[in-house]
Amino acid sequence: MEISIGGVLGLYGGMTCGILGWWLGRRKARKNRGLDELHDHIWQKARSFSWYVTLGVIYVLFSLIMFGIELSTAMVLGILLLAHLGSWGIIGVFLTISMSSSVPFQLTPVNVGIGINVASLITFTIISIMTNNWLFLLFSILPNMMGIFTALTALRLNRNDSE
Amino acid sequence: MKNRIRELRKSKKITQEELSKVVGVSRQSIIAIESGKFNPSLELAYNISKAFNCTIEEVFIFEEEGMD
Repeated sequence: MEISIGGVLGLYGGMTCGILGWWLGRRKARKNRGLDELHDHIWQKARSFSWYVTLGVIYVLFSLIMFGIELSTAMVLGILLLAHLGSWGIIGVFLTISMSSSVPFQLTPVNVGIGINVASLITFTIISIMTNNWLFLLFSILPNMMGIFTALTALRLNRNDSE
Repeated sequence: MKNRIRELRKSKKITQEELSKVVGVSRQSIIAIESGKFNPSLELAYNISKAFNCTIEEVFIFEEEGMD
């Protein structure tokens, strides 16, 4: 049995760094009374949303397998871990910024379109890097077209309304 | 749910930071509550009201939706 040193370092090193960062962050937040009910609300909501992202990624991975692409267990688990933890963190930060800003964030079609583009690009770039196959980026064309179409249609409608 | 925190804070010349220290939450929480983005728990609403020497009803205005 062969042990991958890089894998062990990445797995346990990443976990140690993550726990250390989480602990330091909590310590700093406690000093500023940051571990209050708003903090709990934001991070519970972020975790809830991250399960939707994970569900989406599971469907994408199942689709790839159905299209005949071979994916290893480690690759699939790595992508799921990254999607779940990554989306949890990104959504949490986004909600934190949104809650403390004076201008309320609105879920407009333009924002939805940009969101679709960013999410599909990140997802398929990660899959391309992990599988070492750039052809996976082609899968992001359809969601990107949808995102651009949604954003541009909304912008055109807004321009027509203002004229 | 609307609230009169900003108005009461200005009248008593209290900053968001000072209010957050009194009630034991972060300044971000006060910003979120003031702007109506976050509804506080009953305990926090009570503490905020107490900081202004008011009752909860005087600080928070409950709006019933779809009730005629």
